Amino acid sequence: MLNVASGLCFLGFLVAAALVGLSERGLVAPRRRFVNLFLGYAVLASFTAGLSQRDAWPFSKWPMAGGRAEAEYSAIRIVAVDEDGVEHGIDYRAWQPMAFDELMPWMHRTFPRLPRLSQDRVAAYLLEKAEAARRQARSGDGAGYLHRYLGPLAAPEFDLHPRPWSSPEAVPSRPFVSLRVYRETWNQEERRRDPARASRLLLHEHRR
Amino acid sequence: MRILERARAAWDRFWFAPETARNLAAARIVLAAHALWILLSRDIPALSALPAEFWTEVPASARWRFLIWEGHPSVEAALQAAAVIALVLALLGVAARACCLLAALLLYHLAPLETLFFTPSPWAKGLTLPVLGLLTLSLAPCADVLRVGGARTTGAASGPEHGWPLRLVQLFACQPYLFSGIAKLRSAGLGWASPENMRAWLLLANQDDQLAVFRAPGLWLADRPALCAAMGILGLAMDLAFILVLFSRRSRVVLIPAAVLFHAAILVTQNYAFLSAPLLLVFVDWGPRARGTRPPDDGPARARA
Repeated sequence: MLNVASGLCFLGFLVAAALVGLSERGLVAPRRRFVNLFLGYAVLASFTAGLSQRDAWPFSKWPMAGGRAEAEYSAIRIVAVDEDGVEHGIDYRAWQPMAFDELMPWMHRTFPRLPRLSQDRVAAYLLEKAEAARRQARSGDGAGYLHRYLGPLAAPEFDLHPRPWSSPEAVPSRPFVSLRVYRETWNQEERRRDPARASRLLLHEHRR
Repeated sequence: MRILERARAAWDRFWFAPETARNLAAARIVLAAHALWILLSRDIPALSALPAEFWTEVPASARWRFLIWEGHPSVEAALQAAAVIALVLALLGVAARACCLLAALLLYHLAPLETLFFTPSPWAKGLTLPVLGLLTLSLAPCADVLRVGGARTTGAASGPEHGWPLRLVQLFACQPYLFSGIAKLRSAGLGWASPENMRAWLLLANQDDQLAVFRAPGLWLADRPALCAAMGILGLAMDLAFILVLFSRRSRVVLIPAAVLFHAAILVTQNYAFLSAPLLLVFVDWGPRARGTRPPDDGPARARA
């Protein structure tokens, strides 16, 4: 329902813009009235989204850091396992073109609801990406490819992420043969006292 | 009746105060360059080729809303190429208005493709303001100056036709601050700015090793309640007060640099990169003003008084 309303909201913005365009050509008049209509619509649509905190992108509610931060924290961690059975963290650039900022929330919310067969397909896809990124980074070509045009000036993700695979020596040398998806939880204050304090639940394991 | 008349007069004074053609053209360049920066830093068409499992929970209404159907990466690549060409031409001022319109429509389609498998709202990804801003500029003489080709002008030409579109772009650029302040107040009240909540946000942003690049500054801050309180109050004040830049040029001298510092501090202490921050450039006065077009210190509201 919100999608329909938001789509109509943008459509209304386009119609108001079209009327301004027509007024410039003299097809509707007076121009000032249609400019006012366009401005009024833009103000109304954007402030409705912002004040009601109901997103109608591109009329966004901009909910940055809203609310109270929860004491209990939960995150998804995907690790790869090499032929020797050793677990390795994966550089966030391995998932490109997907952004870590969308992939992890999706893994948190949607992945556990998928049928087992679908989970396996997703995990196989992610394992393939992780292994391809490992090989690329290990060969000295760096992880990921979204810096291909702009190099270090490329826009970052909204969340910054460490880049553990920035040098070939830091990249695991053995091929990845399986993928594990964990849900990690911790209490923020407890972890501040003890950085190792976190519990892990294995959600899924996929072997090649 | 009198109130309505006064409201109408205030509306006219605000929106239709004259503005230089140079500032409007600069907004065109800033928006186009920013959208290009984001597009060239992503591979949005490739997301169309994600395995089908990623699309299972995307509702049909979201697909129709943005005209996105997965499995067509080559079509999306062609649309993105068209968007890049339109943005480059808009930046150069060649067929600028048509290119702004085309780019805005294409970005409305492309930007959600980046996030649609998870959310239909790509608000944090940097293309929200270009969609609204470029569409607005397509309705205005945004390439009278600062363009490739055409007659050279002094850049001081001005009028209401340059004023209202720039003002609307600037309003859109203020809204992330204002609405995020409102989101904080609606969800947590003034207690959002409490030292306890600031500490909790700092811990949240710095204790996940997958997210945090800068950890020491945020954790150092989290352990100091007085600084947390100052951070909360200043952050909320910044969000709610930023819209003053629309009404007071004097306030821009303080609030624009403050916003830059605000984003730098958030980056270092919380590891969040606000990708729309470069769009603060739309508030910069880029050139000489013709006599009589400089709004007084309290801004466009009194420009024509």
